[in-house]
Amino acid sequence: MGKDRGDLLQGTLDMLVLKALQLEPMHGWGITERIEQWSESVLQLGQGTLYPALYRLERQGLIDSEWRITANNRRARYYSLTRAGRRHLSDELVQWRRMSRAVNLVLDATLEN
Amino acid sequence: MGWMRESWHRVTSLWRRDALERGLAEEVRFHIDQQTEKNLARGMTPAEARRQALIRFGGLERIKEDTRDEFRPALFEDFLRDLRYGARALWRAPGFTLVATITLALGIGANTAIFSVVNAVLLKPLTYSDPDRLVFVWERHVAIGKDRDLVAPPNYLDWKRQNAVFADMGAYRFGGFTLTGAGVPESVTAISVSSSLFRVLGVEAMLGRTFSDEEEARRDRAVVLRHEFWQRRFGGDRSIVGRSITLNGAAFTVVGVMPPHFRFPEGNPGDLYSPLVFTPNELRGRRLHSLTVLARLKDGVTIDNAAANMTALAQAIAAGETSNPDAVVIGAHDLLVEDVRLGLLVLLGTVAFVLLIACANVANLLLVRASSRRGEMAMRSALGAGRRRLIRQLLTESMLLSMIGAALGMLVAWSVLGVLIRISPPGLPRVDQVGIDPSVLLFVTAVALLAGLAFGTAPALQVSGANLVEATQESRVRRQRGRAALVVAEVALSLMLLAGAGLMIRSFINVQNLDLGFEADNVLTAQVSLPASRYPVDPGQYRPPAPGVTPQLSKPSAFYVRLMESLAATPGIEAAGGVSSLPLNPVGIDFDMPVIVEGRPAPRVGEEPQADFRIATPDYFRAMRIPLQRGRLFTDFDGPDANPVLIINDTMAKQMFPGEDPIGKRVVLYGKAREIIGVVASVKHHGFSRDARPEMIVPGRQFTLGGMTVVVRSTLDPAVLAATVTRAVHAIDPELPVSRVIAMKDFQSASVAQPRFTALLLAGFALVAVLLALIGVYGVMAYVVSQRTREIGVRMALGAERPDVVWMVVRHGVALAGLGIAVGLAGAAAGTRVMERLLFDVSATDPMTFAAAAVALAIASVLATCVPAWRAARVAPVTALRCE
Repeated sequence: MGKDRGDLLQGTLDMLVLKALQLEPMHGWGITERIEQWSESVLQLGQGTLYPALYRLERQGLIDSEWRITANNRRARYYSLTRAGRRHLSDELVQWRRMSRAVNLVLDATLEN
Repeated sequence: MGWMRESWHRVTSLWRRDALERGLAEEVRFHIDQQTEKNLARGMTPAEARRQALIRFGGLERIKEDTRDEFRPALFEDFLRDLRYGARALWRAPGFTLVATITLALGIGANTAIFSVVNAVLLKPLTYSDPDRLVFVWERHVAIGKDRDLVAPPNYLDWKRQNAVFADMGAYRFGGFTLTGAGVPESVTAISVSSSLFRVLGVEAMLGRTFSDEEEARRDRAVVLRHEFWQRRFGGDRSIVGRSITLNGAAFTVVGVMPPHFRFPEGNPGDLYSPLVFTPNELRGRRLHSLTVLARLKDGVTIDNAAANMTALAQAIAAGETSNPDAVVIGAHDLLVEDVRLGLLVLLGTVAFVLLIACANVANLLLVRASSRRGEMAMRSALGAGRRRLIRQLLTESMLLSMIGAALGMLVAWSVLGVLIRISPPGLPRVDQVGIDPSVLLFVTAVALLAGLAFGTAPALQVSGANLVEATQESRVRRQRGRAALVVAEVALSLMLLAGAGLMIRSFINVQNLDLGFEADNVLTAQVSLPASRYPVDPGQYRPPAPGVTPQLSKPSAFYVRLMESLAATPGIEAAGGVSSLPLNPVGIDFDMPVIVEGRPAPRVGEEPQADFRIATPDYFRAMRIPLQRGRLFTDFDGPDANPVLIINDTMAKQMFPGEDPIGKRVVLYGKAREIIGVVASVKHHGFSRDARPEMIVPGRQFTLGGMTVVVRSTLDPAVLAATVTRAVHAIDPELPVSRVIAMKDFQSASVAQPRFTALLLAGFALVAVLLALIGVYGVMAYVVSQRTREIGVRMALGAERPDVVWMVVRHGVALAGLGIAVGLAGAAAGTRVMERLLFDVSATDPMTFAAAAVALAIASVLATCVPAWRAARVAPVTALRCE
């Protein structure tokens, strides 16, 4: 399981999903669109891999879901961040920034020598 | 919190499953439709747009499956699967399953049986209303070292009126009546109770009513019947209420019948209850202690408050009086169980040890079995089961095992309980309530679960961990250490039990061999009570002799004289006597008196030495074979008109006449100076555990009370003898009841019933423990030998002799057992202290007992190692080398 997630580590996918939901509740397709758009189409997920992640996050209590009617009158499941989800996201971001800064430092150092 | 939410999700998704499945399908459809529309907007053909959308989505079924994994109610489904799997695994290894379940059944059964007793006796609340608020109040006489004494009626009445801590206070004492009228005359146990007592207990009559305060004040002749007695004697006739029955020749009105489960007093319930009436004599001083006092605490008052308050009150009341009692307050339930609590707790600890040993054995079996299951575990792991999953499955299997063990254990408990109740000592309160009830079932379930965890965890961790990587040499060593530790623990635990049981047995032998001061063999006793109406006590016996009046033999005295003469003349009867209170069965008339020796300065009032006061006929001492140490015994000439005489026991002689000859000294009793004419050996009147007390005995012709116990020494058949005694009594007075015809030997064995019970049970459990431990030692050694078969083969091929091989294996076993014994001795030295109070005349760390237990266990464990060692030595080197 999980092979289709390609280069994306599971934890990273979870973080991206939470980030995408930070502003407003969205349905699954919307989330993939948002991530693709923000990443300037660099991150093109196998879109289906999103769903196990959504169910997992909901089980962990980081997101909530409800069925709503979309603008063109279709039923869709909208996901939103819970308070725990928000907290989790900000923790993850701090962590991620520290890590990526460290990695960059290492990489830059190697170039200079 | 997190795991709770997750579990909740998993559990509820079991029911929400269809909804979730439909939701997922709809969501995925929506997603693909959206993507298709987007593709259409980019100018693709509808077919292409949909195809591209599906490609972008990825493998549809795989993704659905992955998603399902997230909401599947895995725990429960897995549990059911593990259960099926475990059941199959156990079924396939019947030998293992049989040994393991029997071992567990023994351990759990023993625990269940003992817990049922502890539950009924120690844990269940009393059946009175709000029993936690019930307390007993006693007098305490610090000056003469009496911690707990019955209460004198004036004290009871003053306490009841003046205390500030009790909602109500009641009192009772034992009495006896002869019931005549319909049917044979019968001696009934009556409890004289204050009308307030029923209020204190919080119980009401089932039929009619209990006494009113007015009835008590008017000294009405009223009785309330206990349910059992009402059923037995009156066949449950409801019209009995309001009718009168004849007690001691007088008519008493039955005013009520108590409900079925009313037992009061708990240990020795009466047949009927009559109003408590005090004699003028009792109310005059505070010396005649006869009442047991019960009280109900006011709301918000603790036992400690009440005790402090009552002590102050008792001292204030006593300040201006001739005696100086203090008051003690003890919770009713605590008092009821205080004699048996320690013994039961020790038994509970013992069976817990037995269960631990059983668990160690099963853990051992599981470990041995684990090595043969390594392949199976590797296979399951290769098929994708994670380590946690494997542990869960193995633990489920263990739980299944312990549950089967528990079910069988209930059967064990049920049969053990039958025996246990039969052999339980007479003093064990509420033994009739012992049984398997919901709290026992709860206990069994909890014990089984804990046991399953206890024996299942280590093997599960080991098996699941060792399966992926080849078992390295290191981990095998660790496994063997684990097994060795189990053996050491088992031997140590069983040594502790053996030592404890040994101490109890020694203690019991000491008790059994104790010289009680009389010979119980061939002695039959019978209670003969005389109704005061026809056999009035001579009031002259309480007064100084009046000049010019020749005292006559009183009616009761005359009766006993005639009875003894008639019995003594019966062929086959060696001696017949009577006594006011029988040793080991001090019911009825038994009290102590201050000792005032003529010619000595009077001690301070209230601080006089006390001695038990008893009445005996001349042949009593011969019938009981109580040896005379100095002087003479009573004769027929020690009559009412003769010199007042007294026999004392040697305890009194030593305590009150140290370095003097007591013969010829005079002691003042009831205003009469009585000359000491003899000193007899001391009798353990109150049983083996209490020291003999000073005793004064007056002759039956000079003093009588309403009843005596007849004591007959004879080699005649007891049944014939009983009939002879009854005939002799009825020849003199056919209206008199003869009750409690009991061999002295039976009183003796009843008096040691409690140590016998504890010793018997401890010995039984220790035996089970030792057997289990030996099976454990044997199992481990057999396994070690099977693992070393190759090594043994090599050694023998290289020329090792058989004895060398045997010694090699035995040495290993002996080392383990030796370590276990050492640990066990240390444990026993620390542990047996808790049972110190149960032991009689043997120290809690008695070296002899410890040594005997250690030697016995050492020999047994050497034997248990010898069998596998001997088998190892018979291995043909070639077979051994080929093995593996």
